[in-house]
Parts: sequence; C-alpha cells; structure tokens
Amino acid sequence: MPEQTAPPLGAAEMLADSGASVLHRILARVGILPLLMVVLIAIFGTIEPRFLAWQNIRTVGIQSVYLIIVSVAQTIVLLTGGFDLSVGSSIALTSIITGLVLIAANPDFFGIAQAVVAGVVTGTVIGAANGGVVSVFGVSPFIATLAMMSIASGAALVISGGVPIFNFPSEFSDTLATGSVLGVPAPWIVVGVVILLVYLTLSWTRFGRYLYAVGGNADAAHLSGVPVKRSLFFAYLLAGALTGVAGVMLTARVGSGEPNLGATVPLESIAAAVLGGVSLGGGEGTLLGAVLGAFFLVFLRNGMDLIRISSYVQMIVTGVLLIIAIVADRYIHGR
Amino acid sequence: MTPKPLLRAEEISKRFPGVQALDRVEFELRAGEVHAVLGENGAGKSTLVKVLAGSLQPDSGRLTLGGRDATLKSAHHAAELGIRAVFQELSLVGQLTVAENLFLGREMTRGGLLRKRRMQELARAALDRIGAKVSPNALVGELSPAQRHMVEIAKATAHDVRVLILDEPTAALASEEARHLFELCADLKRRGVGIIYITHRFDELYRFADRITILRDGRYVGTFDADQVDRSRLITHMTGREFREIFPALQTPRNKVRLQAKDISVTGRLAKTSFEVREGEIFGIAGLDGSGKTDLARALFGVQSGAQGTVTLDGVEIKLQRVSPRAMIRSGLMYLPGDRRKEGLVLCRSVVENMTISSLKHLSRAGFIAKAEERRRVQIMVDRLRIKTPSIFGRTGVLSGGTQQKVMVSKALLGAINVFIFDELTQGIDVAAKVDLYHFVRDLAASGAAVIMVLSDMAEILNLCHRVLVLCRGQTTALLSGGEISEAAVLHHYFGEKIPNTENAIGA
Repeated sequence: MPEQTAPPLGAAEMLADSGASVLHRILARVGILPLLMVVLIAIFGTIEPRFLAWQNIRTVGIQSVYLIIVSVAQTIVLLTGGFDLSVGSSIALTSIITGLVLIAANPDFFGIAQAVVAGVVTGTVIGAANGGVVSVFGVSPFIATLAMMSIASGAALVISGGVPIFNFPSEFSDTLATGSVLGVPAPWIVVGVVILLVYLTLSWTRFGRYLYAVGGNADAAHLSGVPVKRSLFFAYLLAGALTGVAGVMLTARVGSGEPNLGATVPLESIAAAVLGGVSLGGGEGTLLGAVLGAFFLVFLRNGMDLIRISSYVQMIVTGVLLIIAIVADRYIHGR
Repeated sequence: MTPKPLLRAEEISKRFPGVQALDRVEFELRAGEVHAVLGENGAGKSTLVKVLAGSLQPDSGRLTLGGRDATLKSAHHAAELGIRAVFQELSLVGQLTVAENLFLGREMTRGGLLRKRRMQELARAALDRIGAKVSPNALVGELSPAQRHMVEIAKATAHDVRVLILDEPTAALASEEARHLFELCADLKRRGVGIIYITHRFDELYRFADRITILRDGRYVGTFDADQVDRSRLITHMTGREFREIFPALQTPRNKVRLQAKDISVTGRLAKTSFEVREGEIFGIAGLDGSGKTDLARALFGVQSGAQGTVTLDGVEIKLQRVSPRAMIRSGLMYLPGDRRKEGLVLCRSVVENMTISSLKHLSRAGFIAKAEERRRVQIMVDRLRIKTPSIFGRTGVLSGGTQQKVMVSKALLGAINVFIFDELTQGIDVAAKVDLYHFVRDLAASGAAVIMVLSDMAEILNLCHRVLVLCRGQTTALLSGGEISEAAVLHHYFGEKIPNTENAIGA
C-alpha cells in the first residue's frame, strides 16, 4: 500500500487571484450603480457645469422623491420574488380620488386630510387586491398586476371622464409640494418618514425577514413556519399604500387630479430597484440601493434635460439602462 | 484480473484561485476493474475525475491511456478516445427526446437525412441494457431526476467506451435502478472497460469496487484492494479519525411518551401506521424508495397532501388533515427536509437569517428583532455544532454541504422544538460532518428530545437508532428494536415477505 504526503501550500499561491474575479467581487458588493454614477457625473458635469451646482442637485432631490417612494414600494414586492406593474395606474386612480375628495371637502386642514387619507386608502385597496389575487389564488404577479394596471387605469378614466380635475384649494399644493418645516421641504419629510418606516420593517421586524425568505426560497420558508401567503399579501398591501402616498404627493405637485399620471412609473421603479442591486429573482436587495437607484434615474433625466436631449430619446435610455441592470444582476448573481 | 494499466495519471496538479485542488496526485485504472475514488468533500475527487474526463486541464502532470501519452484537450476529445463521464450536474437537453439526446452530436444520417427509426431502436436497446424504464420518445424535460440520470448513463454507454466515469451515480437512483446499474457495470467489466466511481456510500463500495483510491485535502493517500481493507481503515485514511468514534454510544430512552402517532395514512402512498416515540429516543424510519418513509415524515409535519390521522404531542392531540408547518412548529415538532438546497435553506440569505427564521417570535422585543441577542444565540450554535463559516452574515449558498446541513439543523434547535424529524440528515455530506451530526443527534436525544430519522444508509440504520420502523410499499413490515436491528432483518423487511437474493444483500 503506497502512502505519501506532500508539503503544505505556499501562502503566495493561495493569494493569487484573477482580475475578473476582483471585478466580480466589487460588483457583487455594491452593484453597478456607483460605476454608473461616476460615468453620469463625469459626462454631464463636463458638458454642463450647472449639472453639479447645489441648486440643481437640490431640485433633483425634490423631483426624485416621487420615484423614490414608488421604487421603495416596488422593492418590497421585488424582494418577495414578484413585481408590481400596477403602480402607475394606481397613482392615476389615487390622483383622481384625491382630487374628487379635495374639491368636495372644505378647503381647510381637515378637508385636505380627508383627501390625503382617501388617496392613500385607494392605493392600499389596490395593493390588497393584488396581494389577494397573488397569495390566495397563486396567480403570477406579472398577470395579476398587469390586469390591475388595466383595471385601475380604466377606473381612473371612467371616474374622471378622461379629463383632469382642477380647482384645488391652493393650500393643498402649498403644504404637500412646496411647503416646508424649519426649511426642510415637505416632500423630503414625507420621503424620510417612508424610508425610515420601511427600513425598520425590512431590517428589524419578523415581517421583513419573512419577505426576504419568501423571495429567496418560498418552499424553505413554508417548511420553516413562515406564513408565506400572509407575508405576500401584506407585501402587496404595503406596496399599494406607499404607491398611494406617492400618488397623493404627485397630485399635489402637479396641482390637479390627472387620469394619466404615473404612466412611466412601473418601468422606472423596476429599473431603479434593479440598478440599486435588488434582484429580480427575489430575496436579495436593500432599501438604500433602491433609493439611490431612483435618485440616479432622476438625476440622469435632469442631466439629459439640461443638455436638451428629447424626452423620446430619454425613454430609450431608460429602457437600455433597465436591460444593463438586469444583465449585471444576472452576472453578479451567476444566473 | 489483469494488472495492465488502462488509464494512468502521474503527478497531476491543479489549482483554482485560492485552493490547490490537486497536489501531485497519482491514479491508475486497470482494464476490467471498478476503481472507487474516496475522500471527504473538498478532497479533490471531483477535480480528479474532471481531469480524467478531459473537462478540466491539469496545471501539470501526465496522463497515459493504454500506455500512450494522452493529453485530453476537452471532454469531447476524451469521449473520442473512449473516456466517458456521467457527472452529477447532468448534461441533457430538456426539450429533446431521450433518443435525440443519446445521439446528440453524433446523429446517424443517410443521404443527409436523419435515420430516426434506427436511432430510436438503438436508443431502446441502450436503455434496455441498463434496465431504464424510459421511452426513447419521451421528452427529457418531463422525466424524473432518477430517469434523467439513467438516460445520462445510457448516453455514456451507448457508444464505444473504454473508461466509464460515474460521479455518485446512485445518489439520484432508486434501489431497483441502482441494481440495474451494477449489473451493467459488471457486464462492462467483463468486456474490459475500466470504471471509475465516486461515492459516499460504503455499503455500495464493498459490493461494487475492486480497488479504492483515497484522496485527502487534494493529496494522494493511497490505493487499496477493496477486499483487503476494512471500513474503519478507510475512514481513518479519509479523515484521520478512528472508526469507533463515528457512531456514539446511545443512552437509554426515558419512559415518558413524547409523540404518539395514530393511524397516520397518506392516500395512495401509506397505509395506516401507528407508533410512539419516547423522550430521549432515536426512532428510525427505513424502507426503499417508494416505501412511504418520506411521506410518513412529511405527513407528521402537515406538508403531505392526502395525509390523515392524529398526532399527540406531550398530551395534546392534533389532527393532521388541516395542519400547517407553522402550527406544528408552534406545537414543538419540526421536520427538516432531505433536499436542503430546495426546501431547507434560503441560499441567498445569511447564516443568521436562516438559523433564526423559525424562532423570530422568541427573539422579538416590542415587535422588533433583538439583533444582539440573535447574534449571540447564533454564535453559540456555530460553536456548538462546529459550523465552519467565514462569517455568520455570509450567504448560506457558498458553504459546503455539511456546513449547510448544520445551519439547517440549527434552525430547529433555536426554536422551542422537542420532536425533531430529520429526513436523510447526512445525505451527500462528508464523513467529518456526518460524525458531528451523529454526535449532535445523540446529544439531542440525551437531552430529552424525541428524534425521528428517515434513513437510507444501512450503517446509520444499524448504529444510530433505538428502534427502527421498516416500511415496504406503504405498509409497516417491522418495528425492530435494540438487538433485533441487523442488516439481514432490515433487508428482509425492506422486501416485505419476499426474501432478497442474499448475494446482493451482503454488505461490509
């Protein structure tokens, strides 16, 4: 019986690593967003110095609030392995309902509060309907939310008769769009509260853990005692409620109830989340990534506006970015 | 046996980033022998066979085939030379039929047209030869994993083969199919084919292998004649441990009944079965594939459709028809599945998140997870089970099989669980991790828990359980305890009344 032993490995050999795997590790840690952000700043900062002026960045900060809120909502659903295509038409219906309540109610604080609640409830109901269809009946999120997109969009057009609702009391927009507390713009306060609440939910509660587990492996989650259906239901419900908040805020910004508001939001919110490293497969991604992804998209749009790239071309750019983000996601996660 | 070397590997070295997978490894295969390659996970077995199959190129070393230098440029090149391999990751195209897969890349044509009829006939013959009950016209994507594996083996043996490499061939196969595979290999041996064979199963090893080469940590330990080396020596060579340390001595169970299962049945799969498990008892459920052993275990946890019957846990009666895993876990019973990657773990999440997913309720304070406490408990578990992970916040998916299994087991330990059901707890993991888990199971029982184990490995059935329930085609054929648990008795009851062919049944 021959037996032999060999000397141990040299430490230097163990350290040798290829360049490709270093790139892979960096991407796996932070995603492609930092890379794109550097490119964005370099290109637009060079062409148009105003791009990096504080005033412009502050403007982008306020403009991006709406997409950030929807992207956060989208992220909650993406984490469970689903997605929500109805966020756009949910915003439209929210806008119409908010508008109707607003012109019917008294033009005071209480009336505005009624309108805000009505809008958020609208989004929540849509989210609950999505969640019910996906969790109880096991319909694929794609079909369920695509159908809801059509339903909510149709409802917004039917209720409004296809025309915007005007004559809002000026206090509405003065408070929620242009108002501020101690110099902090109202949209920032709202988005700050949303991010804080969702952060606490995702990172510090059982429900948050369950969302990641359900998205990562629903079978394993089920066998671990996770209430899979209930978690899915509340994920869609929460996403709907946040979309309602975004709808109300956006309505205040445009100053009217718009039946076509938010049409580009489904694609943009998914693109933002995936750019921020949220996996389309579910189970992986961070809130911060989604927020930065949304900010990046709005910053990019702002840059393209500044150098007068048409909105049609901008649509193409958004689509290309989504594809880049998905390819990067697959590369990073080895699918 | 002719001692003529058919395939010879000298001083083979191969390194991957950060790991020296093979370090000057020797290997020699004779014509007409079955040569097993043995080693723990990470010992370099898979890398070695991939080098021998041409799918990996070694950094240095020399290969000779039939006495001549053979530099294998690719798996395709190796196949042309008659070296064919069946790996665990299968290489079939799901959208094609079985026959199309068998002839993929070497289709038979006449006048530029495919000779479909002829290829189907040949495919049929190749499938019959290995006893695969699969139609040549079936779509591969619609086959079961076991059937796909048989097709893969048929593909490897349908054409001229001098060296056949089988990587854990029986892991996915039922016993009947495994028996056909062994017959096929015996036939190939007679025709002078050399067979290289990787397995974790010792019982197969002795039934099947002529010689055994052992690797440890990427290095060659030695080559042994199978009939001249006993199991304990092999394990010592693989692990550097003594065999008697492998299975711990069992403690006597207490008298109090922890779980009482009454009239458990599963429609079409399991007839009414009743048994009790006491505090401190390790209760085995054994049987061939299709015997209903897994169905029984899953029924107890409320994850088997068509399950009926009642379970009494510490005096509380639970009806199984409408019970969920969540409810069973709350009642103190947890089932840990056999397929940890598919059902046991959320691979993209961290060790911490996987470990505490079932016990977050106990870890929450005012609705929020107490993360410091969570980390503390996880760290205790990592130390106690000797879980080798670079970080408890790292992804579970990158860990070795044995480590993943320990993470999964910790999930139950961190909850208030006192009835544990382990389905094939040690499947596909290395010996060192197995030993850890055996001791862990023993300790678990000693602490008063009831442990139910669904088992296939004969050594575990014989050495790990106080009592063993044997099932055959959904019927209970025996409930053996203590000294009654012998290999002959278990095999006898595997086949119900029928007494098995003793020649095939003799193990170590």
